Amino acid sequence: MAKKYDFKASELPISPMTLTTTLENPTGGWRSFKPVIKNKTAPCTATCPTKVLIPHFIDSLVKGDLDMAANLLHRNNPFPSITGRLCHAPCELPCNRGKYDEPISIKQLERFVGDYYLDKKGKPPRRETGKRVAIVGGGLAGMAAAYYLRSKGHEVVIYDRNPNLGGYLRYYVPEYRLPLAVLDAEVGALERMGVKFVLNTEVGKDIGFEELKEKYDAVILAHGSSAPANPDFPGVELLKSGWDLMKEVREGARPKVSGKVAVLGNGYTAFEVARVLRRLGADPFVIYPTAKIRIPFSDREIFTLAEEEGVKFFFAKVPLKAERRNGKVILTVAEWDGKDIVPATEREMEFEEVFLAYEGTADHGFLPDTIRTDGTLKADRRSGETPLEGVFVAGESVSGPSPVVNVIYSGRSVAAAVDAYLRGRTYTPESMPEVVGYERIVTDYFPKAPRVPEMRLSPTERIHSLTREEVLGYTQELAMKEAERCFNCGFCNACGNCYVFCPDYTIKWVHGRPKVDYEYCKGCGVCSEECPRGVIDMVKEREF
Amino acid sequence: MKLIEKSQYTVLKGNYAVAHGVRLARVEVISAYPITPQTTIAEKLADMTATGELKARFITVESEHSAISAVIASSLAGARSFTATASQGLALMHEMLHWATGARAPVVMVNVNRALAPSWNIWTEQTDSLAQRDTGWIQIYNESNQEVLDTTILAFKIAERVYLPTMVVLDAFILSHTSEPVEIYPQELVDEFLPPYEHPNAINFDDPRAIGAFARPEYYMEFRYNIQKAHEEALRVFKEETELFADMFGRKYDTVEEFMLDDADYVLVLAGSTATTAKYAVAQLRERGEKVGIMRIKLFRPFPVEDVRRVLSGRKKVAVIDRNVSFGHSGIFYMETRAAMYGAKDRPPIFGYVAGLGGRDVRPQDIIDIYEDMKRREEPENIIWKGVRV
Repeated sequence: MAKKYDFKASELPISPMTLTTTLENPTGGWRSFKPVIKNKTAPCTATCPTKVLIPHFIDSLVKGDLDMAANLLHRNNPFPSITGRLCHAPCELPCNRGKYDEPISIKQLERFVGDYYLDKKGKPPRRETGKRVAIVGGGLAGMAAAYYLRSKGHEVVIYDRNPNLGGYLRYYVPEYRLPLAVLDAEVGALERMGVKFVLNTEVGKDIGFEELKEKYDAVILAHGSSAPANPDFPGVELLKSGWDLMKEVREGARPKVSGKVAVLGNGYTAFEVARVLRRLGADPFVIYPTAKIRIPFSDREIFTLAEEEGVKFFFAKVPLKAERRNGKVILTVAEWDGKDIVPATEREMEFEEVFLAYEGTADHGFLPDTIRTDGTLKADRRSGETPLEGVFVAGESVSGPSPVVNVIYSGRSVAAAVDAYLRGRTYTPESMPEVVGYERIVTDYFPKAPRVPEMRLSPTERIHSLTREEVLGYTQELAMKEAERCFNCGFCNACGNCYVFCPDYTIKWVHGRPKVDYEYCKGCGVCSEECPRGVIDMVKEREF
Repeated sequence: MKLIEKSQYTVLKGNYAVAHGVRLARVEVISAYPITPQTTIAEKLADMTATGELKARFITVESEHSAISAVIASSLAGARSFTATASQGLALMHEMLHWATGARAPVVMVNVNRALAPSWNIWTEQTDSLAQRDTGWIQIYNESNQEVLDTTILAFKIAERVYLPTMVVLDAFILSHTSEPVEIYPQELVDEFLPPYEHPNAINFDDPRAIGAFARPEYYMEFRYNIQKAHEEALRVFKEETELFADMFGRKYDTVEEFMLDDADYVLVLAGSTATTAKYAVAQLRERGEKVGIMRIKLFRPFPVEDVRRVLSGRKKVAVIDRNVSFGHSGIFYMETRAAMYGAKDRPPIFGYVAGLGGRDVRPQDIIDIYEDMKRREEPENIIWKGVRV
């Protein structure tokens, strides 16, 4: 046996070296914290009512895979071409990039991808479940629910009293905001998926609710909130309907209106009616019940557009009385403090015409008393479940007037609940992993770059047309440029930084993604520090 | 026609002479970080690599520490490797200089002598390279641009025979940015002189090893002993290779250069391009009948103790002129020369002069002043400041 120290200097190798590989030494045991590669939720997705996978679809866009981008986008939003035009984009408010330079123009990117895919979408499901679902109302909520239920393989039949689907979007929203061609394409996609439409059929009149319940495994009530909900004051019956005006204009009529006109309302419709009147040549004033700063965020965009176009406003005022004198309408208004009329603030105003444009309310008249309390539907806000088995409620029929994206989310979540019900499973609302804050973004990796502006018509161009689309969005080139600004917060886009920076080569590249080799990872944390988007957490191995 | 007759004369700055030396040595990996006055070396090599004139990988890095780390690794992987730096950059490399020696990576580095900061200064001074004396690198100082090119080629030959990293040193601006006629040899001739590089422990994917392993007290000393032996071997190899180089290329270098020493009573010792100035001054002194000559130190590590003793023993007086200083003691060549002479027979008194720090000119008259000052003095002093306004 060799003695312990018997090598001579001359017998040693030139360089001090191991005689085996370093793989003999599994250094993972030195670790007290381990890196965990874990996707998180971006602030945009967390804020989006329907939880669109924003960093995901933008990443595919950057990589030039537009079909994949569309696919990811449609996972949680079936109608990006609609939201890309009408959404109030709450996602852009908390965008981490906004704390660095300017938020990502998510809505325009969504619209670009949505429009790209508009004629490609609408594949029938691979498998049929044999279950049948009736949807009452082919508005946005019903369409969204139909999209997801049909893609799960259920037979879906939409009942609508109108000659076509789309509800408010088809019959009221003006062409310059949402071209009919876009809506028709979305409806066409549903048709290609195999959704069936029973049109010109009003439930409660042409077919009974009970009959539907019997014929189908589940029924979704998505009849919306389109019943007029005008305030009651003397002379209200003398005023014109703003809703009717919008409908006529959408159908192609161009009624003559001129001079000073007033619009009475409390939300989106009031602003839109005023804009239509402006385009018809009138000088519209919106009489609005709250102060300017109280306009909800969801109506801010339309308010700004209206203001740019020369629409005028009387804030914090409510109508008390209307009379007709010498062909004019004399409207008595008073200050409104949010609760009560402020005494001694009444004044008369003279208009050529006054239009009523209050948000609608739901009419549940065709439903049995068992699911109503004082005219309100009893339903879970997320799953849409009602006391009646197999009957669900979606959209504005339960929430009241809401932004389009909230309506879509309602349709989507109720569809998930119905799917679970049809499969005999318990519905669990989706949960989101933790949100990535700005402090986790390594901004050194992102050069400052201003937000790419979308193409738009100027206010002067806008007021000269009721049909020309007012926002033109992005070209592919602009979309790609904007998409590249995205931090992709919390979403591993396989940038390879961790792989490059790991000093011990313990982050492997497996099927195009990083994977930690815990046998050897010493837990130094360099990967976590260098991850530009907060995907890698250092987690304590165990409690001390 | 002999190969050497295919040489071409061209006018080159010292830094470009380095680049041509590196090209002729068929270096395979280069990594460098820009620093004045070295930058044009890296630039020229990047150029040559980009055009394909030199078939090498140029690794761009974010610091000198990374540059040296990269070339140590590529050298151990079996590729002939080169880097270049100066001053602060060399100081930043310090840790890895030890590493290169310990791992026996025969990297060649060119250091352009530049003063260290603060005060910030980009001009020549030898303190940066001499401060790396104990890192185990072979260090070779140069006087002219031709010598720079020749020494760059020689450095690879010597380094790769003894597996020691080698530093080729030239003066900032006086050589690096000054043009001189340089003979560029035909590639075939250099190929004959310098065979392809091989490392006995080169990284081999079929037989994985980790270089730079742990050695406990039982073996650490043996590895260190082997490095010392390699340096002793390097001294012999230096002599052999400079002989061979003289035969093939017609230029003879030695560990020390002797100038007008045959009958000299007085000797000036120095290194680098200041020697050219000193030679001019000494020639003038000779015309006045002064028996003075020059010993220029070319090889600093391994230190040529025997040659120094042979040259200096029996002289009346010796003055060492240092363009560097080791604070708290003296000039560094002075220190080394004195140490070498300790115990030698007929050892002369040795006077230490410090001159030309931070690129201050050392003119012929300064050399003459130093010579006369030495002659006048009775007792040697460790540090005599030449030209300082006090």
